[in-house]
Amino acid sequence: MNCVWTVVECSSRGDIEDDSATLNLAQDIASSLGWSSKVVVVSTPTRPVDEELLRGSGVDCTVLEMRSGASGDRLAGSIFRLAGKANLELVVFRSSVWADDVACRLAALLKTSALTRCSSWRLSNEGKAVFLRFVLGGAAVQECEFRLGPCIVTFALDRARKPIERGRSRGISAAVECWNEPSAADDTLLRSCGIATGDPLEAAIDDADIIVAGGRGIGGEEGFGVLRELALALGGTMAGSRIAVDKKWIGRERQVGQTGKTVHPRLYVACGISGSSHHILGMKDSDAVVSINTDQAAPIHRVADVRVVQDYRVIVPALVHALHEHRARNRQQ
Amino acid sequence: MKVCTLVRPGLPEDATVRIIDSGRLDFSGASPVATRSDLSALELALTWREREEVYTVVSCAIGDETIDDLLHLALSMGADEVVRVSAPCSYGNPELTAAAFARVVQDSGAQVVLCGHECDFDSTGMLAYSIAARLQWPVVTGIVEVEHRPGELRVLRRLEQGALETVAVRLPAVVAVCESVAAARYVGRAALARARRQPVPVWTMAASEAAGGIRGVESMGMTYARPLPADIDAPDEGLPALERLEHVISAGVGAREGRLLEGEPEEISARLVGVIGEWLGW
Repeated sequence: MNCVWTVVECSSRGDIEDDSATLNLAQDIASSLGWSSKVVVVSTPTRPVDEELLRGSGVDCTVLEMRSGASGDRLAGSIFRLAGKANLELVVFRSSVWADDVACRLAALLKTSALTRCSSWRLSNEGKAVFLRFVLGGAAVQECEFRLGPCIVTFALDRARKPIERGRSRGISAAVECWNEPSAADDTLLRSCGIATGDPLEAAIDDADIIVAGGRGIGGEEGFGVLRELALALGGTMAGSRIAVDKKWIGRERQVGQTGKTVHPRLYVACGISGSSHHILGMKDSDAVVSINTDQAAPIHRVADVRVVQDYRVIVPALVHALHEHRARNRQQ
Repeated sequence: MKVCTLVRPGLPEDATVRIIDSGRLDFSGASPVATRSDLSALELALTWREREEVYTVVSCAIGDETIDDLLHLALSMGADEVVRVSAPCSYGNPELTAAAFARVVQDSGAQVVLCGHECDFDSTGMLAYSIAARLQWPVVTGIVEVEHRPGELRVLRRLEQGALETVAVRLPAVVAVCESVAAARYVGRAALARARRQPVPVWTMAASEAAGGIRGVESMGMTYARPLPADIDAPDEGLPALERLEHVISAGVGAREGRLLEGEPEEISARLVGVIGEWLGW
């Protein structure tokens, strides 16, 4: 029987909830084509799987344990070996720099092509999967079909958590099997020498895990310098409300809200943002929200998990200091 | 040492692209220009040659004579050799482009392949991987900085969240760069006119050779992208006016726990670090 594989990276919590949209889409394709489906969870020493959480998700998984990190080269080789003689017809990833790299490497190993950043799919009249992707800067939509399998596709999907459709899985207590990476033979040709944290003003907000956002209450461009320190301390990126963008305190590509971008980070820190409905629509899917605003009646406090009714100029530097102290303590331990 | 670069055609910024009945792109009114990230790759190779780290820079384009101008541009920028592969390759087919380009690299004896990560007609980013697979070389993509060291390259690769990964790649290697890796030099009209007087060597690739063993992707057609409908949140008409007003003000988002932290800034910060640590699993 033909098989659809979904390759997902284990989240820092040890589960696969961040990829629920990808899992659901792959399940949808498998059901429509009458194929079986399988989920491959990539686990690394820094992101180990929580088997209980995986079983709870109700999806049958194979955990691919990468002992020495999941570099694209090594991971593609491991997936290729894991696939072995399986009748693999389609491999689905959620698009990211990491996933696109792995997908293209896997496609090269399988002597096929990869389609990256697809937006959706449909069934053709002949009953084949046709993948749709935006091209020419979003001006046109291209429909693509693979001449011969296997098809390697990455989908540009959001990370908003939705219930995972259980499809053909066995229910609440799903099977979790482990497969160890056999070797790391390619290290001599390609070697990672380390990863450095980027500038919070260079990372895109679309997929950010942690966002520090400022609004009218920040008072000026120099206020965003204070927020930048917090973003650096948290390892996050920066965003702004429409007012902050209109006043050119921060770039338009960083605007959150109905006329900007919709974000769904794990942590959203709103500083000096009143919380108009237009802004809230852009950040309502955040896992956790901290609001810092001197106005006790500001609507942003209503959607916050933790409220601080004080001036950001006082709280943010103190918070940055506390974060550095926390890191230093952890390093000593 | 030889470096091989690829110059692919792209569309000028003001080009009008139409989709004709068959679902194919019609850009007949626009003359192709060189892809900017490919020119950045060429610029990087030329910088290495000026520092005497490499000796020869070869530039290659694939297509018919309409793209000779791209190779004239490469010559005027300073490329030592150019070659056009006359292959039945359609714009945006990375497999056919890779097959033709890999042959040029093998024939030229180059040790480094430099090209742009993506181009207008192929935004999958697959090309560099396909070339590397054919040459059996290591490949790195999305590169923003390259340092040439004896026997290897040290490259800086942009990841998510603005993070940068340093990767060491043993030579020979395929490197796909971003436009920001180097700004292509300005070429004057006189240099371009001189380059145009030079003949462009043409190497013909048989259709069977180009298509051999390729399983890739086929474009079924194009449609204009329709704007997505805005996410409109409207209250239920049956609700009382006050509740509808509340719904509009809150954008339909339910209130959260809203735990209030009070006290001195240091005290609040310490508690905030604890709460954030719990959320993020520190």
